[in-house]
Parts: sequence; structure tokens; C-alpha cells
Amino acid sequence: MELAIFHEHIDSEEEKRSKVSFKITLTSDPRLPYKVYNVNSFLWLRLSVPESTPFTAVLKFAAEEFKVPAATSAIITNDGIGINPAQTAGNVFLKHGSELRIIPRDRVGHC
Amino acid sequence: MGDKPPGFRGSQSWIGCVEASLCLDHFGGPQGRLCHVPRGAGLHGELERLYSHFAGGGGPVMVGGDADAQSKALLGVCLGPGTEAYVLVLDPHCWGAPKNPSELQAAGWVGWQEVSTAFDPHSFYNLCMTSCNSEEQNRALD
Repeated sequence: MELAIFHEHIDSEEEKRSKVSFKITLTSDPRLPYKVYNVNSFLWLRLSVPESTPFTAVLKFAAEEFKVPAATSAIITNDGIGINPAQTAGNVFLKHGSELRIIPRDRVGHC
Repeated sequence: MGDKPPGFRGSQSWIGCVEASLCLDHFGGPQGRLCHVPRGAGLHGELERLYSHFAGGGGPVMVGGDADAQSKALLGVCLGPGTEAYVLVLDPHCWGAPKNPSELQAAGWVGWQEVSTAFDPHSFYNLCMTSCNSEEQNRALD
């Protein structure tokens, strides 16, 4: 089973030059039964944003689309590198590329 | 590091492996790669990866979760016949200078635990797998 959320917009050539695209995959969905992970099921979305977009906005948008809380979510690369959202989308694209995933933030210890 | 909104410092909000990996990168420490283990999946699906991590010289693996937020670090993994598997778990609250490893084990700070019992099936987990950053080490030696 594969579910995808597409966002299509026809950009002008100038818009295309100044935008970066990401494919963000949701790796943990409490709505999906555990057995679904065994058949490579996943949710993902593709988005395109201006390079100067704060990556916090990308995180927030992705979280809203997947209906998970942005405050308790984080975005990492497909090979597990954490991405500090305090940078531009263009910077993230240059350093890490376009294939990302959103995971829930964990906690360590008790308050 | 700017990853949290104003007011986070000094609050009772929590942090975990994600923030630890960002800190390691920000302060030039060992690399910390994140691995998400979904709720209910258990650690059995990641045992081969953990084995390769430690066999390849990887460092301690920090573990954080949601339903299970008990601090723990993995120092090793032992794969037995069939589905038998154990992880070497360190309680990171340990402090002081023990005289020998047996003292740590006797006090319960470190020990082997069966994978199915060490991890809560109702919790997701994030693992932060640390490994030497050879570039940083080379620079430090200059």
C-alpha cells in the first residue's frame, strides 16, 4: 500500500530557479497497524519551496500534512542525520539533498 | 543552536536523541546517526544493524522513546540461535570512578538484558548511534 500527497504547481522558469524540492517520508504513523510496516507501506509528500524559506516552515507544513504535531516532530535524512530546522531550505538542500523523513521526537529521562 | 523556540530554555520541555545528535554535530563531537523504531516494531528489526554498528567499531547507542522514556544506552548486542538476542544496557545515571567492571555490574549500572524485555512494545524509540568522526580526530591531532 502506498499513499502519497502531491502538491502540484506550475512554476515559471524564474520560480523554478529559486526553489528547492523535497520528498519527505513519514516513518512512524500511529494510525497504521504495525503489520503494515512489513509490506513497505509508507506515506510521503513532495513539496517545492523558495530557497530562502526557513526550514521550520517546511517542518511545520509537513507535520500538518501528515497530521502529526510539529512541536514533537523532527526531520532527518534517509541515512539518519538530524537536521537543525534553524536554517534555510536552500541550505538543507545543499547539505543533505531532497530525500528526507519526518520522525517523532523522543524523550530521555523524566522531569 | 536555534532549533528550539524562545522560552524553551529554562522550561520543563523535554529533549532526547534528536537533540543529542544535533548537539554532537554542533559541538564537533562524534557523529550521531538517528534510527527510528516505530511503536510495536521492537528492536528485533534493528539487531543486525546494531551488530554491524558495534562490530565496525561504533560507539554507545543512546536510546530515547515516548511511552518508555527511561534513560538507557546500548554498549553491545549478542545474537543467539533463533530469535534469542540480548543487548548490553548502561544506565547513564552512573557516576563516579568504579574500581572494576564487576562493581558496575553488581550495582546494576550495566548488564545484559533480553531484547524483548528491555524494550516496551507500546513505545516507539529513536536510537542515536555514535561513531568516530575521523575528520575531526585528524584535525585534533594536528
